[in-house]
Amino acid sequence: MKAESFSVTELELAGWPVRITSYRIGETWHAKADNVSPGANIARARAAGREQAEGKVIERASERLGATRRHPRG
Amino acid sequence: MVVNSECDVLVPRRGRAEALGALFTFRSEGGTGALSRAGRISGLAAVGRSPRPRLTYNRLVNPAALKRKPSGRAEEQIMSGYAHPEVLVTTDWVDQHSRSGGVRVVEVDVDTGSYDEGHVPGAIGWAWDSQLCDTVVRDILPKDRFERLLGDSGIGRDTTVVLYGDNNNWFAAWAFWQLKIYGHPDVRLMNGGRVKWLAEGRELSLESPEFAPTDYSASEPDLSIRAFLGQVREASGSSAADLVDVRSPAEFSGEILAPPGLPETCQRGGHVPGARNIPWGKACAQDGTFKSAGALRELYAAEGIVGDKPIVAYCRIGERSSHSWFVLKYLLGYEGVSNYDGSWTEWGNLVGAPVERGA
Repeated sequence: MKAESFSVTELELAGWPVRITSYRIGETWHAKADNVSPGANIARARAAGREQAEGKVIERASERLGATRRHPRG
Repeated sequence: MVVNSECDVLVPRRGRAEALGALFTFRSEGGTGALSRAGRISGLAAVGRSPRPRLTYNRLVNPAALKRKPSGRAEEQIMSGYAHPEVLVTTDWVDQHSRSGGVRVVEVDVDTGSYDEGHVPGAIGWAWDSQLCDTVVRDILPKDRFERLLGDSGIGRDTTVVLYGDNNNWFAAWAFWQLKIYGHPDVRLMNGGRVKWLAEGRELSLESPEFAPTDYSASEPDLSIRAFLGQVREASGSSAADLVDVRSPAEFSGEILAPPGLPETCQRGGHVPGARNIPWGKACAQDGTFKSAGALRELYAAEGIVGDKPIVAYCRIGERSSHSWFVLKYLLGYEGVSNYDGSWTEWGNLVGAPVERGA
């Protein structure tokens, strides 16, 4: 058993750069979303297809990122 | 679009696509370089929203680049330049030794579910949030529980423990740090961590191996590699030690109180006065392996960290800073490097503690 069709994508969700990693192990597609800086995992999902797995993870990550507050720095 | 300068892929496409209303925004601003390949997510309606959006974007990281195996001679050449190359092993090495007697491979992830997806054959998994900390008092593992964990894992004092994990070994480095606190002689990190193993298409296993328990006896804790609040206060108020904040620039400046998407865990944002901001990830190349000794030395020297005085690394809860601690102590060989695991969740919650904001 191996991870196949490994892919890493960077995009912006809710104003934050996000890295989506997806791959297939056996019959299951796995997707994960990390914030690019600092690189913490925000969401993960499994599905029967890559698009579904990425879609789920993007939705979950977007919800969580949307709740991130920016504070005045002064 | 943020692109890692080490990445051999940029975004040559121009355009902007929005999907799911304001929820998703993808922007590419043009650039140069070799496009790996274009990708497309369609059918996001599968996640239960409508109308069905189509989000088009470029896959920024070339899977072929990740699969490239510098883990042969090139990677070993880079590793030989470190002050203590013996604390790192390549994925190739692990492939050859993961089931060898005398070697115990342990996966430690931020995302504790990753191990169950599939792991290095022969590897066991430790959960950072239940097995590598005191679950009552905020602290590292007490000595007796540490001994039980290692004993139950079939690890003896003479076992070579190889740690790896997700997020470029964040919590693997945290485990490494604790093993060194309790004096385990031979601990190593798998360079590149879990993502490199996956990207290289190496064998995965679902079996959780069991080993005959040992009667493990740990050393008394070596607290020279652990910093506490008092030492950080002292370092902040004098120039006796360098403080290195390894969080993201947005956390350092006080713009956000936790990494994007994670719960806020402190009352105030900013950093310990006098700290320099050198995000942990700058020590890593695109494939997750550590940069060369020369590049690392340059990275820290650019912020005045040259190893001429003690160094205290901190982040939010101490795991990212154990990664940087590893780099400073073992790859660069600097003396007197410690990890402040109280980190910002301690300092940023203290009544009356001085805080600096801004870059």
